[in-house]
Amino acid sequence: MKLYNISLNSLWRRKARMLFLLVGLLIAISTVIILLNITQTMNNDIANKLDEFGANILIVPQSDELSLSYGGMSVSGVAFDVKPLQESDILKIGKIKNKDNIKIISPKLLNVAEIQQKKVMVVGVDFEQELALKKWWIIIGATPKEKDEALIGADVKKKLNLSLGQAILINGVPFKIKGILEENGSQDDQLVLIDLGRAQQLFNKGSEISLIEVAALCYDCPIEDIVAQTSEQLPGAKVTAIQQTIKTKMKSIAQFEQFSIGVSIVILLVAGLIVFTSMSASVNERKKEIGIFRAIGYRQSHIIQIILQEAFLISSVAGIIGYFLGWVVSIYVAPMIGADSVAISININMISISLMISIIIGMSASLYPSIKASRLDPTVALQSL
Amino acid sequence: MNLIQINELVKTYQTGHEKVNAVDGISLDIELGEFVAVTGSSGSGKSTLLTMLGGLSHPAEGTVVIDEIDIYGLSKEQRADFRKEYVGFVFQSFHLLPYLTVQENVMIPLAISNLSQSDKNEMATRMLEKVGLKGKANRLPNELSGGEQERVAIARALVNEPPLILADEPTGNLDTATSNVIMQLFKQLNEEGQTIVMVTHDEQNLEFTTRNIQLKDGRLLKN
Repeated sequence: MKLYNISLNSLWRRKARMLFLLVGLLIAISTVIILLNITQTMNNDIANKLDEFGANILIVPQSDELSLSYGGMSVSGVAFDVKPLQESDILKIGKIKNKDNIKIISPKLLNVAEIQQKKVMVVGVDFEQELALKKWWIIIGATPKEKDEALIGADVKKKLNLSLGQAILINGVPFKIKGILEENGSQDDQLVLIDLGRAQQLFNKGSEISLIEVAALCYDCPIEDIVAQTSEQLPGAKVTAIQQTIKTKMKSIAQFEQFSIGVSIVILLVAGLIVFTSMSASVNERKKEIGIFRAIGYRQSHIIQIILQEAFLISSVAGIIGYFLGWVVSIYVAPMIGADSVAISININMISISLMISIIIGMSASLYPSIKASRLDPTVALQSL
Repeated sequence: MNLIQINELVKTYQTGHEKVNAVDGISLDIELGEFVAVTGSSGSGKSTLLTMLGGLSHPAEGTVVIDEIDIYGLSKEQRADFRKEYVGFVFQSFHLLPYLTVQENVMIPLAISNLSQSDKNEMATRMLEKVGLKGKANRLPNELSGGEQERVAIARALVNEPPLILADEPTGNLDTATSNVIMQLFKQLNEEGQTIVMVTHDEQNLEFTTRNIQLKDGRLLKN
């Protein structure tokens, strides 16, 4: 028999006595785990849904002129005083250090063309990339598949009185309207979109590109890094990060994170107090027992060891059960606050964190009661002796 | 050979504004192998004397020398080590730990030693055999009768093989028949060479002891 057998038996054969302490710690630890899990899930969720937020980097040719507008792109300036981007630049973007964070690269060629004697902006796009980027687009009809098919904005449809399936002439070349964008209030309402290669051909632009929109899925790394890396690859281009809703969303997550940390600290302090009062009460109850140990020849350090071992055992159990309790509750709570794209899995790191927090609180809150116990006068403790 | 030398021992208690000498200048020697009964009315200082003999309570004046060690010249922790080596306590209300089995209770003094588990088990088993509780090693204390609990307490006091057993009213909570069995056990241990100092107010117990010390108001009345 060793001292830990005494601690173990004391807990095991008097379970009710330590139940309050265990439950107190358990509730505290699981609440902290729930908060941690939810914050992490919200972060992961945002990372998963990043592509719903559209492009966050815009690459245009260097230009001294003030722009007209397409996300800061100077339409009239493209042709005259700047060196345009080339299709080969797309490959260069794929070579930056953070290339894994880049999910969508959508090149565009902007031109003004005449359709039914009206000037319209015709945009050559890679439809696959563009549709991946503009998740919010609602297309009536279908996405153009062939080179002579076009997708038109709602305003274009209205102003030129066009309809689905109708043929139009762009600069005299026939295109078939395959799809119509539902009105979304943005500039897209005013555009006619056709295949990029076809547009280059139509406007004699070779392999030129007017601008590139990039969606970098990098919710926690600074977008500025990716911008800098891209600028390095494309010296002749102006690479800008677009401020967007994701930043606001991330800010609110950061605020929730801070709130969680604050609440966790308060909860853990309360848990510490519960441990402290329970342990102090327990020491009072066990005065006689401590007197016996002292009479038998146990040192003060032995008494401290017995009590701290008990605290260690309880807080370890609370740490592990608390983690799993918190995990189960998180699974139900996370979808309620909109973080539904991420499965909350069992995480070894989190188990260790939970265990460590519990043990640190349990042990430190028991330290003073255990020292007090060890200093009891054995004759007073034994009373009847 | 003297095992214990007590010299001019004084213990003072403060009650309100009054100082009371619970033990008031006692000197005596106890030899190895004696079975000493300390008697006296309640308040005579007999229990206080016993706690001072066991190194649990610091005297106001005087010395207690056991096996040539001045035990109140030691630090608190050294005195704990001393108790572990030299003293086995038997208490009136048994003071067994309710959450440990009989075997485990007997092994409490061994839990802080470096002996191997099998040695510890063997020693505890041997002691339980000695006090006649071999078959009850795995019971919990509350499953035993008062006499059996007292025997567990005696086995626990003996398991370290300390030179000195200090017993405080060991039969105080037992009926006459059981008391006799326990006293027989003490007598047998004494005959095997064990030194025992026992506080008692039961006259009947004196027929088992080899010496009777009587206290009154903290002083020696009869030695």
